[in-house]
Formats: sequence, structure tokens, C-alpha cells
Amino acid sequence: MSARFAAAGQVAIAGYAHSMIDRHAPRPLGALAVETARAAIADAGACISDIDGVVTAALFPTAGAHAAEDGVAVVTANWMAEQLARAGARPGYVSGFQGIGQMPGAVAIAVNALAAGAADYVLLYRALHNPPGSYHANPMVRAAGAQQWTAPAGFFGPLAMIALPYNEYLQRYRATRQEMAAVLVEARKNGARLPWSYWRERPLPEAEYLASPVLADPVCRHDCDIPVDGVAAFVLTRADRARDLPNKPVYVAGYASGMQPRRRLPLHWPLDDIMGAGAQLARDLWARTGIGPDQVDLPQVYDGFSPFVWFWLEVLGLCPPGEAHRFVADGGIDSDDPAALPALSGGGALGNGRMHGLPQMLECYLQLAGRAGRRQRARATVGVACQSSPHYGGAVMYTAEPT
Amino acid sequence: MVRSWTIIRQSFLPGFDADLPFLLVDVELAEQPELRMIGRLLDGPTAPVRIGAPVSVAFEDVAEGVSVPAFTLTGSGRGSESGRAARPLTRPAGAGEEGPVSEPASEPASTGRPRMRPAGASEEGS
Repeated sequence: MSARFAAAGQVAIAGYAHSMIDRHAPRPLGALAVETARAAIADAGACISDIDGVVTAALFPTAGAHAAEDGVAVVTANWMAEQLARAGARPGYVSGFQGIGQMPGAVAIAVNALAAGAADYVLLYRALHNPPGSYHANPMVRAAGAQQWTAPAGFFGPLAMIALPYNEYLQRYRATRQEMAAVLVEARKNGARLPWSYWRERPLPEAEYLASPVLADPVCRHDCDIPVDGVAAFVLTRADRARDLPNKPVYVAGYASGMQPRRRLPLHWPLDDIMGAGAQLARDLWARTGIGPDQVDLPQVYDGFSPFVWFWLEVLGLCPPGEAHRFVADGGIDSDDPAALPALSGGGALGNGRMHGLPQMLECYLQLAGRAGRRQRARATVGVACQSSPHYGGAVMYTAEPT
Repeated sequence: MVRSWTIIRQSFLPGFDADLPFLLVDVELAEQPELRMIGRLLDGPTAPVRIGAPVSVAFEDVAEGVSVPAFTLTGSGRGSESGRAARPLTRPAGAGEEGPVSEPASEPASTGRPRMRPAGASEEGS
């Protein structure tokens, strides 16, 4: 493909809404999603009848055997489009992203549709669900497909998945769990300041992190985002329309996605796979946007598992390889330091709950639109919202001015 | 060669609780660089594992007629600590015509626990 993204700066975020994040919402997820969608449309200064595009990524990321009932455990784009159509919308463009890196993937679908003229106003949202009972427990006693090579040995579920590259990093670079505590303290500090966060007003002391029992060495409970019910929604439109709407537009400069470099067993994520593919993703992002890492003042790294913070900081070139553990421990991402890179200023998943890439996208939007309230940074011009592992997920670059 | 490892202390699958904690190694095969496998380290959860440590393949009997690949630290002697049976470098269950290469010193742990098995393994003749 050509180096530069042809639609850079042509599409903008015009408004947003966020539900409360709860362990278990008092209402069905679908109801929460529709309410949040309506609020986002109103926030953008649009009407429901303006919405002609509906885009989401509906994945329910459990290793367990929970049913993915539409409107209850997931909210697909078709389900949402039906509800909005009953309220007067005419969604002719309805699409769902199926891969990993759900928000970058869904943003790409929405941006492409708008730039191509397939829709004028796209409602983009994601709804996350926490089912009753254990999130990942699975009663299976026979392993079919590729899992037959892993599950019988006891290698199953995302904790074991992230434990291997995390330990590989610790051993290779002589990093420590004490240094990882700085990631959690920063994420929860920022999450504690967000009124919608599950962790609102609840920062995490370092001692509490270090006292938490290890579940799959070196991963403890606090290294994992907590499963929640929650929804965030955005309205995207073309930049020329967005400039006539009430909020300051935030522009999409481009995106890139990771590609697993080799065939691996299920959930087997060697550190070199992650970092090698991540380096390529970053090169693609800089090439397509024409903007380099030294211009990014609002990186929002993914943190569904805490080691991803180190991985993304290095992949994006924001610190040297093998140095992220020291960079964070030395205050390099402290959101209260105007000279630092506020990589978790939106709280991330560790500071909000398991909202996948939503906290990263939302923080880019709020800061670049000047809507971050007391958290507003003096300088916020180029944001990058990351999601998932660098070798599976993606990243979107946002700018305060059209590129 | 060990490229990474983890000690599993909580299982999301049925049948593993009695094994906890157990150590899984991420192994790069000497026979083919970049080809990596994950398996149980039969030396037990307190084995002195480190990155780059050489390991040998073994087979772990997880149920009657079902064996899965596992590893032992090379030169460490077989791990008796875990109480699990290791058969050094023998064949997958049912694969060999030449008979067992070697048998474990102790009987394979056959506790009758229902444990995860590959779907390809036969179940009551089905």
C-alpha cells in the first residue's frame, strides 16, 4: 500500500458519551449501550435521524463457556442499528470488526466508510460485559483443535499467555515486579480521578500491589484489568461537517495494525514475536501519518495486562528497548509531571476496568478536544491510542489539527 | 532450551487443582530454531529453571492411554518432587511398534482424575 494514508485528517470525532463502569450493571448491556449511544449523538450536536452508520467490535473476550447473547453479553452493530432505526435513524452502513485490537479496527472501518462517502455520521461504540461467575473458567474436559497441544499440559487462559512473555522480559532485562508496581500505581492514580471508572477514588498503594499473591508467576491479580460492564460511544463524521458542530473536532491521522509474524500455538506469545511485529506496526504508523514518535505528546498505551505498558512504550520508540521498566519507575509516564509522557493519563484498562481500547481512545479525544477538565494537559496535539498486544492489535493516531 | 517459564497457581480448567502449583516452560527446540513448544517441567515448581537452560523432552501420562510432551532439565535427574511420571524420550501413546524405549522408574501417576485430554485421543473406544 502507499505510504501515506489518503484520508488523513479527513475524518473527525465530533462527540462522545461514557456509561458508568460497574462490576455488574443494574440493567442489561444493550439498554446501557443504547442510552450511551443517544448521549453521544446529543453530545456531538447531532440527531438520531442523522446517524446513517453504525460500527462496533463486539468480541466478548472470555476463555470461558459463557453464551454471547446479543443485547446482553455483547452488543453487535446490527442489534444497535435496529434499536436506532426504531428511534428514527436510517443506518445504511452497519459493520463490525472481527479481529483483535477492537477499537483501532473499528475506528478504521468507520473512518474508511466516512472518507468513502458510505456514511455521513457514524456511531462508533463498544460494550463490555462481565458475566456472572468466573470470567475465564471453562468446564471443558476435551481439547479440540490447536488447543489439544497446549491445554492438556495446563497451558490455558490469558494469565498463562501473558505470564510467559512477561517473565521473558523480566529475565532478559533484569526487570522486577517492584518496577511493575509503578505501572499499576500510575494507572490507578489516573483511574481514581475519573467519575465513570470502576476504580474511581480508589488509587492502588504500591504495598498493596506487592502483597497481592501471584497467580501465574509473575502475574498477580492487579496486573489484569478487572472485568466490568460498561459502554463508551463516539460520533465520527467528515472533518468539514465536524467543524460546524459544537465540539472542537479531533482528527484521525491514520492507523496501523500488528501482524503475528509466525504461526504459534494458541495463546503462545513469545516476547520477540510481540516486539518484532510491534516495531513494524510503529514504522507503518509513522509512515502512513507522516508524524514521528518525537511529535507524540499523548501516547495512550494499552494495559489490559500490565506488561503491555512496557511493550508498547518500547515499540513506539518512546524509550529504548529494554528500558521501559526503568523509564516508568523513574517517573517517565507520570501524568502530573508536565515534562513526562502521560502514557496512562486516561487510566487505561487497569484504572477503569476491562474496557479494552476505549480508555485510550477516549483520553486522546478528551485531551485533544480540550475537554479533559481538571486533567487537561497544557500541551496535547498528537495522540496515539493503542490496543491489545502489539503483534495482534493496532494503534490509531489522533491530532488536534487536521494533518 | 528454556526461553521462558511460569508457575501456574490457579487453573481455569477442571481436573488441574490437584497439580497446583505446576511449572510450564516455553522451549525453543535445538532441532529447529524459532520452533517453540510449551509443556510441563517435570522437575517440579521449585526447580532451578533459568532462561537458556537445556531441557530434554519427556512424556507425561495424563490419563489412561494419553501422554503429552513435557520436559525435564537436562542433567538434573528426573523430577521426583512433583510426583509425576516422566518417561524420558519415548513415543507418544500408541505410536510405536518397537515397544517402549524406556519405562519410568515408578509407575505413571494414574489417579483416575478426569483431566484435559486431546480431543483426538480415544475415549471409551469412540
